[in-house]
Amino acid sequence: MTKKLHLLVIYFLSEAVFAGNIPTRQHEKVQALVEARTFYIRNKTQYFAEVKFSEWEESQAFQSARLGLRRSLSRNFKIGLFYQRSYGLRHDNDWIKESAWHWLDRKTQGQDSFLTDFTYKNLINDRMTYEVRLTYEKNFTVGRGFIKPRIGISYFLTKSHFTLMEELSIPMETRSSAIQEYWTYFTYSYHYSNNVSFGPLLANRIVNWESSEDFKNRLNTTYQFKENIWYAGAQLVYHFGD
Amino acid sequence: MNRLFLFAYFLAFSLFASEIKFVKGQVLVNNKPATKGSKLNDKDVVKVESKSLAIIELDDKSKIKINENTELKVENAKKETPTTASLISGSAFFKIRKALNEKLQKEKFKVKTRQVSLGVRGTEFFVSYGKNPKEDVWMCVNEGLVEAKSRKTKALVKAGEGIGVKKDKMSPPKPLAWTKKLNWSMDENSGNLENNVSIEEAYTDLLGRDYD
Repeated sequence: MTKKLHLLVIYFLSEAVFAGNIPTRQHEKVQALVEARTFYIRNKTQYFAEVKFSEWEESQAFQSARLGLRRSLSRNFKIGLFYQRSYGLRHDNDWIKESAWHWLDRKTQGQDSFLTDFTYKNLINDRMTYEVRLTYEKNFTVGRGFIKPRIGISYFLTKSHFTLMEELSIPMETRSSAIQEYWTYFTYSYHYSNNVSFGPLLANRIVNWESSEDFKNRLNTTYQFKENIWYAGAQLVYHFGD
Repeated sequence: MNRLFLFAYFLAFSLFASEIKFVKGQVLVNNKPATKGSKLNDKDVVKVESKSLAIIELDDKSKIKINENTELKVENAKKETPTTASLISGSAFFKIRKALNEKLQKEKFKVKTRQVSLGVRGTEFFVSYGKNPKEDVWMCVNEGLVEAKSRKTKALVKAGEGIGVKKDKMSPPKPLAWTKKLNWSMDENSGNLENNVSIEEAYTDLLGRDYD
């Protein structure tokens, strides 16, 4: 009887130890996402500015602003260089214990990144294009690098176009899951004028979370879980210059 | 004496014997309403209003299809010198017959715009002012060869190719996707003459512009 009682106590104690120690999925509803970009086109160079923000009340909300340029090397190839300032971007090691286990609040901490991308785009026919883009991102604030391959396909009507894109985020450090995030974007853009286009967007983000260093060091165990987040919103694009 | 005078009179007219072969909507010649069968004299200005269309036939059976919101002047159609069409505004299709005279084969017909002059040797081509008519003009060739000259450059444009000229900068001749949908028909009996391609499409290079 005593032995059984001891086993029960150990069982419930271990439950108490781990309950609340592992982060849980937090997103049950679709979040709002707004993106606005402008391109100043001068000869073969596009100067670029972008802001993005998701629903700020959500715990995993993010905001970012990006500046840079993309240069055409030929009709099909472009190379880009950008600086990005972000808020709210969460990382594996942000799961920490102070008084209790919680996610580090990244909303008030800006993160600086440098990005470079290489794009190949070509026509499928006179209405459709496909694009392959490879981005390298170095987040200097948390010291992490990412390779982000992306493929996309666009279909153009006379005054609008549809785009479907898939992007992976692959951290440079070793992880159990090589791919940390999958983003799928679907957008419709209405070409209001030669300068202005806008329209709705729908995005799905799948994040593969893995144990933080704090968790592994304190509890000598690991966790993994997948988080699936949906976004719905709008994008606005402004082109000017040549 | 009177018969000689009449003969000379008609001979003079036959040196420039253009005629309007088709009219849809409102077409003016020197600001006066014109109809099918109206004759055109040297340096007459043809103006085609909105939602209208006109086809004129020159004395050598060459044709010009003038689109809506277009003004064009054809002059100097003597057989020994190139005929010149000055596109004042809008757009037009040209179907120019090859010269029977070998001496005229080199340059039989010219089209002038503000930015570029086009020398034509028996061909089918389209010319249009762009969104900024003071700066932009577009040209594409369906058949034959066109020599395009701006103040700074010149180029030979072949069938299936086109150019854009902005201020004095001429793009190199290349296939332009938007020109594949142009309506080249000049058959006034076909019932299908209107061109529905907007010049706005010329500005959409699907590969050149990024949206993210």
